[in-house]
Amino acid sequence: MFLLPFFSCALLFQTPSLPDLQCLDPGGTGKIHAFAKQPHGPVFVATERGLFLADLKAKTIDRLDLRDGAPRGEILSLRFVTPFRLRLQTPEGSYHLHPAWLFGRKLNKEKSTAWGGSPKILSVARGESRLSPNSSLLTDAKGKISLRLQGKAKGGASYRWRLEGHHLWRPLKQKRDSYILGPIPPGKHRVFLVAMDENLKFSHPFPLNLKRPLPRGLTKATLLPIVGGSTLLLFVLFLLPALGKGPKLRKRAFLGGVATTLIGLQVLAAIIPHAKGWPFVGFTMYTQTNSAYSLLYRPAIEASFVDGSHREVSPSDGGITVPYTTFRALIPLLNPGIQQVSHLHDPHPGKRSLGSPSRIEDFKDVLEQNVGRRVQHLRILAVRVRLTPKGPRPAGKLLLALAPPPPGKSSKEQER
Amino acid sequence: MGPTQLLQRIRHHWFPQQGSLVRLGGLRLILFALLIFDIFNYAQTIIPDAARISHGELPGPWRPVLFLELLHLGPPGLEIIRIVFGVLLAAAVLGFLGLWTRLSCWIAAFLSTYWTAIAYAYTQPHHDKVAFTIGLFALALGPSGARLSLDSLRNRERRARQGKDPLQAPKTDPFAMFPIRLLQWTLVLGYTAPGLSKWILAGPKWVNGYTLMGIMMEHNGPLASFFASQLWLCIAGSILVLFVQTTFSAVLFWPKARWFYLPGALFFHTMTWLTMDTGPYITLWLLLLAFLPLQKLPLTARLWYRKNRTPLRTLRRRTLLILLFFLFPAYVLFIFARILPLWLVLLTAFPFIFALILHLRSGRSDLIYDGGCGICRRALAFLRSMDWGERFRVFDFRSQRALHLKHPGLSLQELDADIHLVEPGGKVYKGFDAYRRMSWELPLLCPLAPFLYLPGIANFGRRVYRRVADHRSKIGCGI
Repeated sequence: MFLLPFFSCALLFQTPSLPDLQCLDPGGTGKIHAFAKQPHGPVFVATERGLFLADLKAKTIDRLDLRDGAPRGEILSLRFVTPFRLRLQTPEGSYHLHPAWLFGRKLNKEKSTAWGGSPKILSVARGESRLSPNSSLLTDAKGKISLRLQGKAKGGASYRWRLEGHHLWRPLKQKRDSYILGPIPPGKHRVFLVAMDENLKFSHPFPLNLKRPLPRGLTKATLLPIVGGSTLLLFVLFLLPALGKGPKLRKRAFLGGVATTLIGLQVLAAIIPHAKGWPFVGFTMYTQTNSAYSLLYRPAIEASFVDGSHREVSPSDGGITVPYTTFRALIPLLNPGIQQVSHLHDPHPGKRSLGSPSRIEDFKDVLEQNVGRRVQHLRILAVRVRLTPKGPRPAGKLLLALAPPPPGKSSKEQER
Repeated sequence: MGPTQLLQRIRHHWFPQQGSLVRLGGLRLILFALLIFDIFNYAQTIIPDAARISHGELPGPWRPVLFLELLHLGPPGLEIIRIVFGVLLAAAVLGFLGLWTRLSCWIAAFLSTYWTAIAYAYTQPHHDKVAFTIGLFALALGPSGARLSLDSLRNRERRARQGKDPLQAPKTDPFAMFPIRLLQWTLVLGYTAPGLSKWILAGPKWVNGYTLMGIMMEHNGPLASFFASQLWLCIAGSILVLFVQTTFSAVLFWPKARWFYLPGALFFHTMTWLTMDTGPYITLWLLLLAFLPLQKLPLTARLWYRKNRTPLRTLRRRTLLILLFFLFPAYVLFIFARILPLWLVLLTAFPFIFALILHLRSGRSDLIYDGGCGICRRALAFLRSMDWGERFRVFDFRSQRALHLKHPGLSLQELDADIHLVEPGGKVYKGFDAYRRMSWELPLLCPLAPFLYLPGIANFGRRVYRRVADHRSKIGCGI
């Protein structure tokens, strides 16, 4: 039964410049209004049902789930203002959308002339006390913290934050005159705050050190005495009956205590899954689920060589030694048009950290040495895959970063 | 079942009177071979990281595991890492050889936990080493050096010196099963907990096929596209994974279940390697051998090889034999050779493979020695320890009165003068020639055997042997 929408959404483009594309969204595209190709990136399609991404190689078209600040519903037209800024026209008004991370801003004609310079964070405060950069703060039990922010930006400042070591800049929720940052995971974290203007430009980041307390039952102060006390009690329970009964029985009792403790700790680790207690760790990996038409993102690096060929390369080809190809491994390389914060990707400027490049240019140098060919462009991509009843289908690749960086303004031929 | 019976069963499960020391020794060899592999594997990242720290750079965010944090152990520099590497490697080699086994096990267990924790502090902890680490500690708690070790050779030699029978080595111990059981339970938890987590956290949605399809595509192994493109295969695979994981504990209580669960687990790891690019999980592959009675494997191999009832059965047994005893070790060697030098891997593996081949051969030789002679007893203690293929039946001509009936051609005077080796065909070797012949059948000495045929060596050897044999009463023989 679930095959029906899959077949019914197959779509033929009437536009002569695009081939026939198979729609992966069960609801189809609706009426197609316009399309635009991102420089060095994919083709975005404005439709009655929102924004779609076309994969011309795989001949598929797939709906994009846009994030905060982006328009919902019909999109009438679109054009790339810069390679990493897409202007969308909707019945409600104009928007700017980041074509990699899919967040956006509605353009506000009244406010757009209020400030002409780069966005700025003027002050960060908690309650009445103003915070300096690198201040240390405690979040609430849910990992959230309320901040009062003041900034200047064209069209009015909106704010985003990201965890150090994470690639996504998330929005702060506005609640009256304050903003809610979080939730962050338990433990100590460094976070960066930025102000963003309507052109999706970021301010210089404002760093904060946040700590989310563990639930009381899981703090070291509670857990260690409980575990230590239980272990001691176990040994007493095992050893007491064996006292005065000969060395063999005492040894057996002692080993019984050891076995029960080790197995007990492993069971405890399985109940409270956290790898920090290694060698007692939880086993909750691969418990996420997918359904029909779930979407997956796979990070990839594609190198274009001067001879015109291009291929996917692994992080290790360019010297990244972090195991597993995850977004986390690519953080030093992700520079999605946010030039102002690129130096923050390197905790030790001037030195190569992590046995890996701190910037995409360094990665390119190492890659050229390893493959023995000149690299013209490096593209960091989010390869999208849609899970369908007929198996996984390529659903386009979002361009996350490009090296060398693209020119500031798109040429006319890049626009429709 | 009453509480007393239950207690008795638990006691028998953990401390059976007939716990095999050979099985425990075999497990020790496996764990320490893995440890040596692991030391070099992690050294590839730990040593360069430590060098960076010594040069004032931080290799990456230091996220220590809990015990490092509690002990206030920060990122170590090159000096400390060199010392840890040296001591750990020495302990691992000594543990493999079985010299000062208990001490080696303790040092190896603690330092390997630290070694792995350093690697994890820069990346993230993984679950595949949990059973291995606990297994190392478990070895330290049991009599793991009592057999298949230099310690056991030293014990035999000590017994021979004290005038006791060097052939009487302990075979069982009530504490021999404890380390094996602890490892088995940890392994079972390692399979069962992920299965239960999937039931509890994901529920039946985990077997809808799309979940496994997504997992495969996210990790993108070489066969991921093929398997993920078949929804029914993904559904079947999910059901199988969940079933094997959640019911894996059956291997602890129902020995026959091993025939399903062990190949099932190997299949599972192979498939995750091919579809999710997880790597071979060689640690878990080898640790699963903890569920097999290792002490019976050589005999099983011999029986499978020799029993020829019907062509079909013979084919089946020999196929299993090749798979279990040759292809599996070949695969393990291939993985080891990716980290360790090939010559080292082959040199270490050679005696074990050779011993297995010797085991398959029919017919054993009779070795007749003088049990009243201290030197002979010590020599026998050594030879017995080296006889991994069980090629020799050993007889003391002084205590075996019926021996002349078996070998009527050998007089007491001859047996008193020389050690004798009688082959199944009746061919007799004595003195130096007996030792030279035996060296072909002793896995550790086999590489030296050709040198004993070099010109002049035989004459020299016979003369030395004669001199020692003729004067053994004067040099501490104890006749």
